[in-house]
Amino acid sequence: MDRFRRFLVSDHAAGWAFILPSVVLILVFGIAPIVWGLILSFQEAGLISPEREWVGLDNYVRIASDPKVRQAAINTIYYTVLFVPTSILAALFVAQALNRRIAFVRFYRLAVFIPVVTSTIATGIMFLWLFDRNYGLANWLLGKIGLGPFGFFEDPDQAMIALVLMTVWGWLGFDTIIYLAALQGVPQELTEAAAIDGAGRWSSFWRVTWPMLGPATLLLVVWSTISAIQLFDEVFFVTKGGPLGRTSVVVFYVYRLAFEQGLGALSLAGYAAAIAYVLFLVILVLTLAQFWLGNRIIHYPS
Amino acid sequence: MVERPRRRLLPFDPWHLFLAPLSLLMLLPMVWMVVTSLETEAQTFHFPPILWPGTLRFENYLTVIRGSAFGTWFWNTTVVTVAIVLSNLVLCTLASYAFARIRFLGRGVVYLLLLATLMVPIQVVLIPTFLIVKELGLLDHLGALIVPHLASVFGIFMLTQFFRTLPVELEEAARIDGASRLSILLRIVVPLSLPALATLAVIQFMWTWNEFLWPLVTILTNQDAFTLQLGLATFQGSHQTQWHFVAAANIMSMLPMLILFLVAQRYFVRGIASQGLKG
Amino acid sequence: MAVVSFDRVTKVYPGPVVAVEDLSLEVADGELLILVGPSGCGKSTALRMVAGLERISAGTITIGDRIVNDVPPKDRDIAMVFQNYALYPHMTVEKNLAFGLRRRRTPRDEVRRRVGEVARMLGLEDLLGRRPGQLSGGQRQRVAMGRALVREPEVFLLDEPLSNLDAKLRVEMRAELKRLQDRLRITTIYVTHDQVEAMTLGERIAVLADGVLQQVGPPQDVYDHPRNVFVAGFIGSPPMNLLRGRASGGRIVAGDLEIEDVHVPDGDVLVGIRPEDLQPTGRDHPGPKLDVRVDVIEPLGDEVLVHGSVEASDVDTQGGSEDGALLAAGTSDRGTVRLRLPPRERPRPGSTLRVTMAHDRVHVFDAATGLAIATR
Repeated sequence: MDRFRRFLVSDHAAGWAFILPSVVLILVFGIAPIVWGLILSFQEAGLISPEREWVGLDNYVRIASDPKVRQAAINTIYYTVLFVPTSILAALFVAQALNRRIAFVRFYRLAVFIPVVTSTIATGIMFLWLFDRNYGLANWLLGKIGLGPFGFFEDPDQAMIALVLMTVWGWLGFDTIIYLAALQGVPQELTEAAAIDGAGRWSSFWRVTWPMLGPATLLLVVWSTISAIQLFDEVFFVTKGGPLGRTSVVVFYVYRLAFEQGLGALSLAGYAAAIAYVLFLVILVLTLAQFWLGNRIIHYPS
Repeated sequence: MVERPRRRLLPFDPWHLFLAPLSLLMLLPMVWMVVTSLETEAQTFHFPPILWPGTLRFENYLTVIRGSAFGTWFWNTTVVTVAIVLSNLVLCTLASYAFARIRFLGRGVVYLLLLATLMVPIQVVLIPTFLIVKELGLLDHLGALIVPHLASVFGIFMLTQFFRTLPVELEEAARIDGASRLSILLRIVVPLSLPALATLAVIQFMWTWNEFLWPLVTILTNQDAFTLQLGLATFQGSHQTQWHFVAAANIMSMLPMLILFLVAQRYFVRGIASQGLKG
Repeated sequence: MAVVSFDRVTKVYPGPVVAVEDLSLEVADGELLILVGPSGCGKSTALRMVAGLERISAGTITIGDRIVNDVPPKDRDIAMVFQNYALYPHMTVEKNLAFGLRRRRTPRDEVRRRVGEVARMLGLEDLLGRRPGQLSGGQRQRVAMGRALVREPEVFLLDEPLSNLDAKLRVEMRAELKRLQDRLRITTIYVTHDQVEAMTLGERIAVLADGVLQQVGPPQDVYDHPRNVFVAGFIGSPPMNLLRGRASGGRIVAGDLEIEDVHVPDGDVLVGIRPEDLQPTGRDHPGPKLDVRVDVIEPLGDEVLVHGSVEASDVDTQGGSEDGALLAAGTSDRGTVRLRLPPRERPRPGSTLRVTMAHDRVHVFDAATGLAIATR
């Protein structure tokens, strides 16, 4: 009895008491789904109907031969390859520009950061209107310098690029904040020493500042890649996967399978889960590769 | 920055030539939305676009509020967001404090397990979580939006990191004085952690307010449970050519976040920058 | 011919904050001049203006025979050792040393030769492949010096290079710096807040306070003949004892202390005597004398430092004086005085010691302006 009482007031009891509500919630809504998702991927299952049928690896095999999956994968890769370098390089340049003591810099920073808080839908609406083929401001402005008119989201060849522009706009603030923080972490003495040593602006940036931005760059590459691969909201709301399926990315296809077609008579939840898991694996491998590569070339300040 | 002597070609720093247009570009979509929201329908269809509508039709906003369930959507989102933010503040603080300062059996394992969930992308858990929520009977209600998010792993991770940076001597002194764990947490740790808690609150607020995919998936038919983003998307779908109304709805939905940002900028920036430090 | 001269140099920051005011100073070719003063006195700012890291608000700085106000740092032929060394953390020691030469497109074998030579001179040969993070503080300091030396600059700038080292290392490096200076004879400006470093290293020292040059001259001169109260209190450790007094008719009275035969104008004065100039004496000594009630004794091994109080008002100038003027004196009529005794003498706390001083070791300062008054 005494031991029990001692346990009750011990650190063990206290620790568990503190974490219990959170752990239970995360167990139910975070961990259980991960496991169940795996199980689902080996089944043929519907979302509404309770039937489940084990089909082993059939779902995974099906992925390999599904042309829609292939198209979705290509679209996703296309988007990622466009989005990641563009957003990171833009952010690097902008952060570098904002890292100065000039007039209005607070206003400039605000202007760059603000789009971070706009939702994907709000942004989608803004750009649907801006990029409207007939009445949008973009075509009017571009027309003034002799370009266009462009179809943007309505043109099969341009839709993805328009998506990239829209999402770069939305993410620029986030990436810039990270780079700005990293730039401000570079000791001023280092750039001063480089200036005295004879390095010009470009040299000083490339050889002294840029290497110190390694960890931030790695973070942004990993983060941007992961969010690029998981693109959904903008596709669902703005382009609906079109035109002609040219912007149908993987997560969009998974959603379609499970929640549009799967809610009907077809039992595609398992298949969708399998695709999701393959995507997960891809992301995992890609992230690990990026970290491995990054750690080999980055110097971490001790 | 090294102050380099230079011949001044311009009366101002040349970087303004880049930053000013950039700022314009970043603000343009929102500014244009505001302008559009104050036009008449006919004016929106004018090409070349009318840059200044003359009379400002603030009535558009009232029309949207009266003519749609905008009020309901706004209310729903507010309820969900406030509930989640408050719940997070409480639950994550408790859990993080334990992970940071209390030595208990299984602490390391459980923490790692929680962190591992951060690695898993959303589409993997989307379907199963949907099924779980369905089993719990929460589907089509606000509960589906609130309950799964009552505690967030991100919040726990962030606060644990932060608590670890506080000087442990303060808490040790309190323990020697006989204070219980809970009262140490409430009287000593929390008052010292207000900036970190504010940051968590602000970031969580933003994510919840702007969330789209999860409400889309769990609120199927019950229009009364639509959140702002869901409602906005539907509104745009049903008023596709009425850009003045869509713009008004859009501006109203963005306003709270914009105001929050202007007021609490520091915390947003800190929240995001700290992710960079976590590396 | 690398003479560095400051001609009425002023630096003003927005505020307005005057960091350096009307500084005129010349550093001779091959000389090691030390800029010394408390934190915030403007010494680092002055150094950075020579380096080109700060714009000059007024006046001119000349290196050699050209005015360098608008010349970028890399074109001034200077090298600098920073307080925190500023070594490039992602480069090896060798690359750190070679960086400046490479930027100037020095041919490879020349780079290799110079780097090798400097590495040998500073004992860095075994460390060339390491990164700064893997080096100790003293090693990093030497790499920082090496990076500056390898450029064979006209002017060498050092910003508190020893302040991040522990005491023992500091003593070693001081000697090494002196050796290097004797051998290489590069015009050097050295900034420090440590007056011991200033006294031991400098050929001349320049004392600054609040952006204004207080005094410049060889260390012993400055020590023996401080031009104002600030310099008197700053140079020398433990600091000079300063007592309030009044001069009238060729005689100064400061509390219990009476000094005859001093030719100073009548008025309020400050009397300064260095701790080592106070000698214990017998009761009947004819010259100026003071009774010190012993408070604390500090046996230091080679001497004994006695802290005591006297029947006179003292003055403290180290609290951030504006123009060498005085802060509020102690509230009581007893002031603190310090003196030095040979190592085996240990007066008991509470006992009274009678001390005297040589006439020519007494410094007199005007109480209002703080300036030294000649006593002849």
